[in-house]
Amino acid sequence: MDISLNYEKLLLGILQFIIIIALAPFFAGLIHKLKQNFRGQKGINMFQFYFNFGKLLRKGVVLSDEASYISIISPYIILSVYLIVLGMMPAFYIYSLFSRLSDIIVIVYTLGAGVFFLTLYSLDQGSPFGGLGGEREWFFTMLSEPSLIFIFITLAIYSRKGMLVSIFDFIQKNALGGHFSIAIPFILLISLFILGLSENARIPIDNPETHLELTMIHEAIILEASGKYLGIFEYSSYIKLSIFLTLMSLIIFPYIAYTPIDIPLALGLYIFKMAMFCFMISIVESLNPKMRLFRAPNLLSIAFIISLIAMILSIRGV
Amino acid sequence: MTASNSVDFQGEPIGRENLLETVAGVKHEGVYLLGIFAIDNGDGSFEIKYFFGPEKNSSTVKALSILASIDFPSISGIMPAAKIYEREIMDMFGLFPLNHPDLKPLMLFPENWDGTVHPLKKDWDKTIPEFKKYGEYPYKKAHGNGVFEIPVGPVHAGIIEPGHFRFSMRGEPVLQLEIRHFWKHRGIEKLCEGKTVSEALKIVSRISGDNSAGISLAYLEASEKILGIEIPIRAKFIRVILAEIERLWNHVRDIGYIFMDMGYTPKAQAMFVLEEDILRLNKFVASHRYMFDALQLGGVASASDIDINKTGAIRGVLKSAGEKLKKAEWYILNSPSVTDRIELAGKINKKTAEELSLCGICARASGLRRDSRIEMPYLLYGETVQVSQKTFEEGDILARTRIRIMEAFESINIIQNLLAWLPESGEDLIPKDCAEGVPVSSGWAIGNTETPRGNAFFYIKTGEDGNIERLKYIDPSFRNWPSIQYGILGGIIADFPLVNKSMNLSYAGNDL
Repeated sequence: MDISLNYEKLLLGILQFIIIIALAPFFAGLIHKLKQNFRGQKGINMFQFYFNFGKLLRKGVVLSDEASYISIISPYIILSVYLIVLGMMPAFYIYSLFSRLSDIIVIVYTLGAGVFFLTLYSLDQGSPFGGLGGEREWFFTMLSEPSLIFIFITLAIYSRKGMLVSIFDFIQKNALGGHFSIAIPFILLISLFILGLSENARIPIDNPETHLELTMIHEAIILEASGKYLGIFEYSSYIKLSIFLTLMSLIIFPYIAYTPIDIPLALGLYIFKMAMFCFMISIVESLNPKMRLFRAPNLLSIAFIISLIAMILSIRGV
Repeated sequence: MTASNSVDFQGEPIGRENLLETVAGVKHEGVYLLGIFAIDNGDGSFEIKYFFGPEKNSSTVKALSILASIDFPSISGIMPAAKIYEREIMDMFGLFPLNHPDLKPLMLFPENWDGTVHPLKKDWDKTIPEFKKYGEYPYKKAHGNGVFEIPVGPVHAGIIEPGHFRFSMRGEPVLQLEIRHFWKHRGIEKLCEGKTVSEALKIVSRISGDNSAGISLAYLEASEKILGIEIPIRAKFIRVILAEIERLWNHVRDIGYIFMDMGYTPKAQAMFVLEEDILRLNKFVASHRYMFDALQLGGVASASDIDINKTGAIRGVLKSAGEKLKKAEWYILNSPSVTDRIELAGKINKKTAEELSLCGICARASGLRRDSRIEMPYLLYGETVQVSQKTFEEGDILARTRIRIMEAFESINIIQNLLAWLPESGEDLIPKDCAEGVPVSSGWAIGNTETPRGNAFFYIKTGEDGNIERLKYIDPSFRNWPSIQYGILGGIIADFPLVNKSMNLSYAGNDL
């Protein structure tokens, strides 16, 4: 894969970056809408989350008296962290904007930086629920991060590449051509799906729709946020959801364009795959109640074991 | 008039030095506390009345009273359930309970109310003290390494009623919970003083909107006893049918909330759809979604007469309710992810339930056989309508939810039977003498009914002119709220919303 830069790659990379950012609220809204339809409700407009974001941007900000500069910079840091990671994803065009940055270790720890500032923000407001949410967020991140690292390491061993872009380049060119087993990516998908639910505050780990302060995790952290900061937090969570969905869509069936002509088909497939995963998540969320807090580690251990098995299998493949 | 709900009462107040001994004897007989309240005699002395639930195999309520002027002996050492009643008397009448273990204001907050003003005294001139800070409410503190406090409410993240919950925690486990309610005191007892009996009915039926029929029935039990009104048989049938429809919709909604709070929204939505169906049925049958003003002194309003159309509508809703509740029951008992969430959480031990004199679902889930429909039968209960006692020993969320489902099924059965046996239409709904003008009579009486949440207790005393001199209402929520502090012990804070919803106590009924 030729990673040298030219104007065409840069422009198309920027285009892909803008498109996947712009699509992020749509997928979050789609899950919400599908869930409502499963319940027999009419449901929101699929573009409702864009209107919500616009409304929040226009509103004023109320900050706690206890708040320090952390509360002011954290929303921007968290947004940029997730933007950078999303920018590394070769969602439908191989030369993603930050493709040369997309080292697997960088991805895991950039996501970690996001959690760090999110929990710092939760403590900074001096709200009792913030501390509660931050504590739980660390608890689950601590349990899910090893699995995430293993997933990326497995992909790296499997393809003998260290860059995310090269890994999916390899999978698309070789694995789908039948030269390598595609079992390993499929095993990873199970693990990644569980992590996706956990990291994005979905049922059965957390409930994104709840109004009960005491059971919240992600919502408790941003309970004190208001106005444009709340809008930024919400958008960051949509982008984080997109990151995980994009990773899954790339693992299950990478169809990545190398030339501008392929882009429309690849983009169409990308949206289709993402919508399918949204559908899956909404089904899982409709069929399961939220777990007890201390039962959730069992689920995350399963994710860890699965990714461990995948890693062992991939080593044998070498 | 039914012979039930009668009172075993020594007319004269007993000496206060004999009180503790008498209460200990009463407790030994196995009765529980129904309520304690004070009455201002107007001459500087106060009568404090104690009501105890019936003994086994008897429907007689036991009553005691003492006279007090400045202080009175606390019985909370013998009956811990008395604590909140005695704190209420301290706030409202300024009488000091001696040897009380927890002397904090209950309803009047030192943060905005002058503690020397006692609004239920007859000599209060109804001037509200200046709105400023008079003192500080002393919360219970927990100390230790890594112990922290989480204050929740009274303003919540959702649109619910105000209540303050203060958790002392170490990590997720809860070490201690202190509740502080009464943020929206409306002064209903004071408001009813001087009103006629039918005027007060309008007020009490709106105390807690979702138990309107149950609470109004308790009020009517008491007031009709004073006035000596005989209720026509057809009106009795309709009253019981309305009360059971109310029980059904309360239980359906509460089961829905259990699903809602565990994040199982599709099942919750199914219950909420059913709830809405029943509310629309209420509108059709009783011309109000919450059955306000459906019950009248002496009978029922003519708008809530049940004719052939209404019978059909009720049967239709009952049929779909039965089917949907069957499905909900299946999920609660057979879906591991649902059962796991509610089993063993929020456990209230039988001993705790006994000492706090719990009533309703909370008592029955903890193994206490308490149901006013059986213990102190009124209207058709105990005769035409036989209610079977349902209890569980576990005392957890699962037990409370299962009792709700079983009672909902039973309500469906009761309504179906009563519809089949309903006397011919054309009979009176209100006695003739009552329809022309409400009779006037002075005296006092109590009324007990089983609302969907538990026993509702009314004490009414009318003066010479027939107007109300003292009205006391004790809501099942008032009795049951303290038990939530014990239900969460040993659990984690993330389970608290489910514990709370499984009991589903009212804030409005609690805070008159």
